[in-house]
Amino acid sequence: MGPLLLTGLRAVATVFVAHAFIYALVGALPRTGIAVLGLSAAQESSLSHFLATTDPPESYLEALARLITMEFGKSLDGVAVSTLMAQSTLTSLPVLGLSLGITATTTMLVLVWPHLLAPRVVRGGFEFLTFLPAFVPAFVILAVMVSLNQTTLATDGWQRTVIASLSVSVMPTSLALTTIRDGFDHEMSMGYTRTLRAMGLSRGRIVANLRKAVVIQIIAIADKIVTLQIAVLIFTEVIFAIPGFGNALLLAAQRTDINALIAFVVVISATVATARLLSTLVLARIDPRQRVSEG
Amino acid sequence: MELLVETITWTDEFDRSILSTTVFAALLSMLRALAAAILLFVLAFTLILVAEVKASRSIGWLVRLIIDALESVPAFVWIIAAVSALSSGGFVIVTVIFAFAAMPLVFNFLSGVVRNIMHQPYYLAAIALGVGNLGLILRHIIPNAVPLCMPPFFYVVGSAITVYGAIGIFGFINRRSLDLGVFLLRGKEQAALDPLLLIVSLSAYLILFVLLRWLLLSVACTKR
Repeated sequence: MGPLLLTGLRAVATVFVAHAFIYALVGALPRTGIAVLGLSAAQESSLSHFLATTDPPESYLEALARLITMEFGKSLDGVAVSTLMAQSTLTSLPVLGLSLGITATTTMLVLVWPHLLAPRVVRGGFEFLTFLPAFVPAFVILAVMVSLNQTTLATDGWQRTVIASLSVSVMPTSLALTTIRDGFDHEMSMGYTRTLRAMGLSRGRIVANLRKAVVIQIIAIADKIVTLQIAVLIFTEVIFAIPGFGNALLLAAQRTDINALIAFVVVISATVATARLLSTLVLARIDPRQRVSEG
Repeated sequence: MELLVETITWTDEFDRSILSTTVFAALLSMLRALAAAILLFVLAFTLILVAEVKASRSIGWLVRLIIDALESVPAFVWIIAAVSALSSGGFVIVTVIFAFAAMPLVFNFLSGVVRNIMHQPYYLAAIALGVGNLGLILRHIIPNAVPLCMPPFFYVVGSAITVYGAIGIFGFINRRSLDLGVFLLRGKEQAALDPLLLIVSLSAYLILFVLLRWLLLSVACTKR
């Protein structure tokens, strides 16, 4: 119970530290430290933006109290930030849900048939995709649509949701598939796999035995997949002009809406910390190595 | 062929050659990213040495917590928040914030490398011979860690290129700037009428990343 409690506390502490950082960055830094960098004009400008926010937190303690009560104040428009967050997140849900579905389905397929990743070109392609900037898939899809004279598809309706979901899922899926491939390669090179081979087990039986070890590796990087999914979602929504989470975040940044910016960062941090906590809890149950080390 | 001729001769709305401005912007992106990556590695290395060599449990725990918090939010979100609050997308501000925001990328890797070196017999022998902390760092940790840092260095350069691009795509930089992100933004806006700028700037990104990937693989092969 002890290590799990510590993991939970670590997740909560992560959100609080992220909140402290974003408060320092958008709340405290423009008001205090910027003169040291010789940016007095910027200071004046950002201070005016800061004061334009309807009810900015005056001190860190006030900001902390808001975090604890989950009341983030009002945006520049006078709308409650929590309402803004809920609306934008609801708009993003179809894209996020569909892209998660695509990632999960592809991952399952490759776990069942790992030989799909066997060709060198396929492996290299997925590796390269994980290396690219998060905004490239959306721009590539946009460029393909432009060259096919299909730009109207990306403006409205279910087609836009499908296209955006494909764009969002490309990089997290590539990351998951690369991990599966590396996982199988690693497990295949281990001594116990050689023993299974020497015992005369077929390749299919060996792969079935190794699958759990590879699933454990996928669960271990769940937080990274979620972070990547959020990053690509923000870019994709901005590129395809979907009025969801990404566009709301961009609008808050462009208008220096302090309350909204703090809330967005806290929500992103909490989502990733929750994913990390869940993956740790699942690993604690299914990973025999962790059970042994705890015991 | 027609597209190639068009790319060479075409000018943008500011009467600048698309090809030469894109090549220049790509070079600029690479140089900025290199500077940011070097700063990040120096900072991360210092932080790890403080946490590992000084070996205080509480410092290590605190550093871990900070890294967790930074890692829980994509690096470019920290940067657009900073650019928004400071009303400036200047090179210095973006580079400094990037160095902190992308710290988890490097920290996790480097701490493993440093810990590994600290368990090597030559390191333990040096401690037994009474070599001080500075001597251990200069003679053993840095020379052995630098070659291992090269592959992640190229990952960080790629990440920095992404971040500088993001600022341009989100419209925080002057539209006349020679920045690949701004080119992508303008290319997207003009895509329906003239897709050339979008295709050329996207190709520039792909070429940059193919080059980085090639460098990464070359370094990895050399190390083996």
